[in-house]
Amino acid sequence: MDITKSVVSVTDVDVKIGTVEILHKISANAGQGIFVGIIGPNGSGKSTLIHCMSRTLHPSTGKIRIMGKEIENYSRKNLAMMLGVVPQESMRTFDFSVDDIVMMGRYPYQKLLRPPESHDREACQKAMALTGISHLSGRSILTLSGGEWQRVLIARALAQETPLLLLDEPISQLDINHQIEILSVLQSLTRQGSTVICVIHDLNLASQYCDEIIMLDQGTVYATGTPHKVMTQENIRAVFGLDVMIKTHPTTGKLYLIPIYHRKPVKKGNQKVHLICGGGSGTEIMFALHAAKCDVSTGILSMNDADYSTSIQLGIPCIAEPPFSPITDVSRSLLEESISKADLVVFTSMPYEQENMDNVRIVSECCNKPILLVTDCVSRSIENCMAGDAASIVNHMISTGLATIVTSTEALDQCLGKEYPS
Amino acid sequence: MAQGDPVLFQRSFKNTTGDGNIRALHKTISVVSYRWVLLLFLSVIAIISAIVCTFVGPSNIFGIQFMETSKMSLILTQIRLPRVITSFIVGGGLAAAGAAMQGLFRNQLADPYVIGTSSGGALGAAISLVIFHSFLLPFAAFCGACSSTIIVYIICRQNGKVAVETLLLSGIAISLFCSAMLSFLMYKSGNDLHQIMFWLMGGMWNATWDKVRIGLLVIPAIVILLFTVRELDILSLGDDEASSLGVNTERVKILLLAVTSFITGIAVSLAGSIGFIGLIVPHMVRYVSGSSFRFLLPISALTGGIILMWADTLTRTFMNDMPVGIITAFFGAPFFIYLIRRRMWT
Repeated sequence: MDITKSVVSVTDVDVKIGTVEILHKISANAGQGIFVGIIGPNGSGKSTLIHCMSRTLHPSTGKIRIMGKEIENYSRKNLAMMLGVVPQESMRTFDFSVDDIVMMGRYPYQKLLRPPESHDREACQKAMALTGISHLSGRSILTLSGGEWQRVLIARALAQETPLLLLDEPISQLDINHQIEILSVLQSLTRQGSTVICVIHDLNLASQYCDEIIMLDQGTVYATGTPHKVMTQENIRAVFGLDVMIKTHPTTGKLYLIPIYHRKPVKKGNQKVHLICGGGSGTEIMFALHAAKCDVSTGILSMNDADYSTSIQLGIPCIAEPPFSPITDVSRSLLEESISKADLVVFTSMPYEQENMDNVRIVSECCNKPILLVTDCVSRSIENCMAGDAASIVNHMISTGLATIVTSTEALDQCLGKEYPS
Repeated sequence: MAQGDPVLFQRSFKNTTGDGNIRALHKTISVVSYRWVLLLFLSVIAIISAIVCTFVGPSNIFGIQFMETSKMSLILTQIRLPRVITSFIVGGGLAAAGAAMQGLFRNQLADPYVIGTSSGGALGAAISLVIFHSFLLPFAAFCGACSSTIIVYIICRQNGKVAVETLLLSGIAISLFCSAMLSFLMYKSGNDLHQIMFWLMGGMWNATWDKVRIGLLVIPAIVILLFTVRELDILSLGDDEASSLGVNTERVKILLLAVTSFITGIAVSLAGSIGFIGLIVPHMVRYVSGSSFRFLLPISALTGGIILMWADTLTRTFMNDMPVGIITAFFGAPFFIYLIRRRMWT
């Protein structure tokens, strides 16, 4: 068999249940050794697609091929030797033992009335070891927790020893260590040549483990391809209706997503705020102000600063300079302009390094707006936060009544226009 | 069924490398041999019971003079032995059918009596009796049993699942309907009234060697059930899962429905509608054999046979041959209520 040939190919599949169209013109492929993740919001047809591929639901139109052969042409047993299915939920009516359930995965290989062979038992033991449930051997399934039961079902599918695995939210009930463990097992199976198709709700785990992602939206394929291609801010906003920040994981190089939690916008007149920050100190307040739809600008920041990338991700206007370079006149005039437009200038509790020293100096020279100096130090004393030139400038600003020292909560409330008794 | 356990036995012996393995080995041996011993033990009990029950009865055969050996052998071979065998077959068949239905319906409350199979069979038998003068009576009972099971199954099936409430309710509805039809037939029948009462109450007093010959058909039917134990295990997880594990669910379900209805139909044509054997026996057995059908089914069949054999001996010896269906219902209904209550608690 041609290795590059796709293991599963879904062509123009429509599924109608009654008059409701659940899936519309779905086409997708999965090659050998690929970990495919299916993502999408609730009701987007993920489980239906899994059901179609496991032949428990018949599409109204369209074709599904496994190893190039149409799925309808397989006998039930042969299909069970090709693909293992982990269902989303499973009934536990009778008091079977864990071993009985895992052994059911060997059903397609067993002959009528013949006892399980030694390789059947080995496959079961291996599957149970991989899913970390060897210690549950002999236990009744009625005594298992939801997560343990989910792992038993995964073990049963692994015991089927199929080149293709379909999993419908296999990790939804697992705790974090078992989520990672199961996904790693699945990933290692793909490295050995199996193909895994898995519905995953956790987008971060999906981007971490999947080679390819199929993003479903309202019964259609919205996007498909590598995580980098599919998991974009725009796609996720369009499909999930959620604003996220997408970053590269510092150690794995994979994408990770941070949802932007929208606060309820404060009705009282928001102020225009210019934020002077750096070193990550401004991230939290920037985020909160952005979420409250407050008009924020920030700068001057160095382009390698953490706050710079936050402002870019959030789409906040930012005055920036290349790293390790002095502030240019252009930036300076931009900052002056920005401050003149703002109602409020906020300094976050950043380390006052050279660059920020310039910021402090420019502000002290041109600013006639109220200045908030954010510090969460208990003593609220300037000497604890800075020394030298910066301290003297800041002290001057405080003494002229232009600047006040506030905590981060107070600063946020003032930016959002809440009156705060001093 | 000899599925796998001897192999497990041997393998465990090879694996005695560590402490844990030895413990596992002991556990394996004890579980496996325990079930086989139980099966063997019940077979022996069944044979002994059959002999004892044949010699126990209202007329004391040991009191009969040697002169009357022909009378004694008549009582033993023509009256009691067919009756003992019939009760064993009926009890075993109903218990096996009940166990299989519980797997098929994925529900521990399913039983030929509760879901209306028995009353359908009784109606079929009564129709044959009243309208066709007992023509093809076992076949009519079988048809009645099959059609009522299929109707109940169609009514309560939703998305491949069978909900407890709908199962019980549709079972009751079908039973009530069949009872109404039976009452109508009784009202119309006149002379056959007593005969029809027999179908309703369930008893063994019609047992003859001819009936035993029909009853023997239950044995191959139980063997067919024993061939499907693996599928029954898997089916009890749900249709979709069973299909994805390679079970041809529709075919197996139709086979199981046909075989269980066949057994029930035969049982009804031999002994009327005897309730709750199919419900209680698999339940009791499950506590000792576990839920896996490969032991549950044969052990249930043996236990059901033994229980009905003794219940019938009890009624014909001490209760003036009261219909045995009354006894089983008398004990079965409270047990059924207990099961429903326990479901509510959990």
